[in-house]
Amino acid sequence: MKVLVVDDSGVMRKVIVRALNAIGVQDCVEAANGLEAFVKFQADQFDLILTDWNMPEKNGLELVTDIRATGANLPIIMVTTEAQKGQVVAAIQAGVSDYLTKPFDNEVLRTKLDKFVTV
Amino acid sequence: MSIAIETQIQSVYLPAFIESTKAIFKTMLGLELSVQATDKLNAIQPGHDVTGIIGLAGSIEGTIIVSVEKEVAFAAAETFIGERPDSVNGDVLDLVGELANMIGGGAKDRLNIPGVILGLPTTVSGNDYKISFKPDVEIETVQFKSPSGSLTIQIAMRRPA
Repeated sequence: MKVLVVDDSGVMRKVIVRALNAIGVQDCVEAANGLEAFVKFQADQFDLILTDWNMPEKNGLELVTDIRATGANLPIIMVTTEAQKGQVVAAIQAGVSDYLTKPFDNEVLRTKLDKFVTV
Repeated sequence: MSIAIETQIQSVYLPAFIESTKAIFKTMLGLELSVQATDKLNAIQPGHDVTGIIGLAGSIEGTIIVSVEKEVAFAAAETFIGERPDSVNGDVLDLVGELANMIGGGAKDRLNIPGVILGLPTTVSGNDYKISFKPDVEIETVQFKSPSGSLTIQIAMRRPA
């Protein structure tokens, strides 16, 4: 299983990759913003994308919109601090598969991933 | 008007920020926080080694300042990324900014007030500086204690016109 982890915070990318490693996902690729993520998405095959919302260059919502516009239907989970209803609706309408709110622990992450892929 | 915003900060905003801070430190860092004191200020001298600052706009206008002793930041980094830094490096600054981001987001979620926008966090290292606000801003401080050291959350809110 190959996962693309997108967050402008280097620390958060490390946190998410560590959490993924802890639940058995070893093949992780990182991107620091939506623009870099879209380039990597086009160049490789991923089983899942975990993306932050607020990022420079291209935010998470814009990234999701661009990915879905290519016809790709891989699962995309938005990882963010903000879980208010309006934002959740906007994210789902853009094509987000699920939402993961920070702070989260490894078991919450595993439960989210189990819905879409076999770890 | 000034009484109304003070009451609102103390009875509504402060509890949301306190709960958010405690939840984040407990869930992501495994650290139990206890509230040591709360206080009102006119200006802010964070007083700790690393500070994350994040703005609020829209239906609430204000600033959240999260200041931590470096031992708290180092313990957090060790938990988050598996390595304990020996100085306030890029990862530590990034981490404290992310803590401010999560605290702001968690409080925003608890307040459930529509139209609130969180800015991008800024981080500062060192403590020999002061943050000043305009006269129409109310500032409340919460001091916490953790097993690794102290941290402070300051909430600066503009009074409604």
